[in-house]
Amino acid sequence: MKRILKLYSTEIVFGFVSLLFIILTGAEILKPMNITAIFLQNSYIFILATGMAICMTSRGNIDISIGSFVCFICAMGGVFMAVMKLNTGFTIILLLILGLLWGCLSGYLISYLKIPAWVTTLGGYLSFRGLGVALINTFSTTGSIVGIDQSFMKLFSGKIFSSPIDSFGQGSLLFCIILAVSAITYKLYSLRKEGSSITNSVIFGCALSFAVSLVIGVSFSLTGGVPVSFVWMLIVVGITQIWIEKSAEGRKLIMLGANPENARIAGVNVKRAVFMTYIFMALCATLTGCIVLSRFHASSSYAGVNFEMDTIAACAIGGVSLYGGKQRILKAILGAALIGIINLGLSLIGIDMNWQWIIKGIIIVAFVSFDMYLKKDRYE
Amino acid sequence: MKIRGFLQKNYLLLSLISITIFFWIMSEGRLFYYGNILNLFQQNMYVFILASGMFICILTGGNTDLSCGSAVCLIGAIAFRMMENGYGGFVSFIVMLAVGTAIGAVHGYLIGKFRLPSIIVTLASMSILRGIANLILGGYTLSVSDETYLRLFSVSDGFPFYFVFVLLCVSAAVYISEFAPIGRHIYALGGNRKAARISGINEVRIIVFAYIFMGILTAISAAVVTGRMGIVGPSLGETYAMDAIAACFIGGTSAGGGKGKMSGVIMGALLTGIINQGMSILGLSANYQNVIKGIILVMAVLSGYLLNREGEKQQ
Repeated sequence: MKRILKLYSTEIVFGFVSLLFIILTGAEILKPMNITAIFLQNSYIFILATGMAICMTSRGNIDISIGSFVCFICAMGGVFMAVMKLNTGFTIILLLILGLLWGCLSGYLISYLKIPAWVTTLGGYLSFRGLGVALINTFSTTGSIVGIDQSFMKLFSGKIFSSPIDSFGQGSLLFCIILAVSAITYKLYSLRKEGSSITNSVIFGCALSFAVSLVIGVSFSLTGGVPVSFVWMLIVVGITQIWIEKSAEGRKLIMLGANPENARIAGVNVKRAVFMTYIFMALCATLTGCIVLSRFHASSSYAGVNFEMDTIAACAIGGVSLYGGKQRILKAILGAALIGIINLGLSLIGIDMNWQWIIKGIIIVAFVSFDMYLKKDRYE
Repeated sequence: MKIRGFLQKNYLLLSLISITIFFWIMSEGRLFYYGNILNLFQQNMYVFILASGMFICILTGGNTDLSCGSAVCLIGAIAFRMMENGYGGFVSFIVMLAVGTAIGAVHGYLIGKFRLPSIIVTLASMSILRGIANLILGGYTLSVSDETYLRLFSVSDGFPFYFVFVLLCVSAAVYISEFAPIGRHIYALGGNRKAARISGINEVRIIVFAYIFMGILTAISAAVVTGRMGIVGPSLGETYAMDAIAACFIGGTSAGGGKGKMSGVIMGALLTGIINQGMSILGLSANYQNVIKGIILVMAVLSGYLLNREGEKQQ
């Protein structure tokens, strides 16, 4: 029983909570518009949770500066495009450089100078929020910088395979089906390559994921196309997942998280690996900043508020261990989807923000306690 | 190297003096006006109180409490609602202490017994407590008119009672860290967890103790702050945790625990107060104040680390 709980805790909770919200909202949440909204409104959690899962995999490092950094990136994007009138490509390059710089700085402080991650990122949490809001207040009197390039918005918040809202766009459905089929083929292929047999549970999993992508595809088709932020999310998650499973660097990272001392002896450059995770995290935050910026159509001082909470909650639900050593990016993504459902469900029911804060806080504590309970024997 | 040794021992005092002089010159002498000095202590009482508690928490092994600002808001909100409904100031204060203790006990139990990372637990409770506080306040700012409460925690009679509370909290932290047996255990636990556990120190008990202490201090600072201002608003205490943590690190407390002195923390709190005050006098917006505080936070830990490393190399 404990073994099943351990293996499928995320899935079980996901099932229960979604069922709960389907009942509470009277199936309102299953409408195509709302399913699309889960991905549209919460794309940031998916991308940030991927980065955070990587950070945590390397021995429980954490980054609480991401929300503020997203705000800072939004502000800088607004300044570059609306105030300095730079074009889209140049802006993106500059923003990426900023992300890279912060990643290098925080990574260097944490891995090479051994300053605890929470101190460094707490500094970032304060500074970037202050800097972002100060920039916005300097360049506008209304609290938001407007005038973002159309091409920038198309790149980060448009739709592909777009179709009129009231008709059925086959392109989106086809896109989702092709994606699901290729993902399943890849999974089966790699299983066969490893020499493991295809069990019933694998077939069940494949069928379930195909059904889910069918539902998502139909929802996209009915609501006017596939959101670009969804594509960005797929790219980030897909690349990260394949990278961490297949590449030597990725395996090293998992090994490092499982036991740093062993990893060091086996010749893993521990400092470099941790350094890289923070660069990756900062780049994820930069991408999120771009998506948020184009979703709001302006750089707002409210961008990124509480993103770190949502992200950590997603990782906690996904069972990403805070003591490192487990590769559970896909489960973190499931956790992110659950947070998305909770966000949307609570606002559909009409519960106010304060309750959302309380519920999310309780979720984090409950899941982290649960994770520790399951692994009690390992750490005693 | 004599100079380096001197720097290592006294860098805190030197930076205190230099920053004071900096703000003194920048504010054209206004920093030392009588009113400003009084303000410095009045507005930053919470830094002294919370930093004392935070110091004990960090000492147990880098455990932190990010939620204390939200807890101040919640505890203040509960007290004000109680007084609004006719309970006395003294009874409310007892309830505040009880709530603070309860919050601390929950934190301590989760962090000590279940071994959850303190940063996650307190980040979560930061949002939980703020949420509950806002529900209690209902989006309004409450004010207080209870005689006993105001007499206890503000200057109405000419004698600043709140100062007694600050002194009490700081001296309690000094007593615990310097003289009490449990203080030795705290240092031992922070210095080397494994060795401390093997030599029979009850880890859970110590961490629970540290967080309960922090909780009580949070309640006291809530009383002192709300008593002085006479109001509780939804955004009360948003920067308090950062200020307290910054004060500890500026004061030379090791971020990994086990090292640090209360004397340093007091100086760090003073420095944080002067920085807060100086920036307000200069008219810097809250945003830039946050930027500077964030940088100071990292710089303080960094400089402590670099100085220690130099020291180890010499030996």
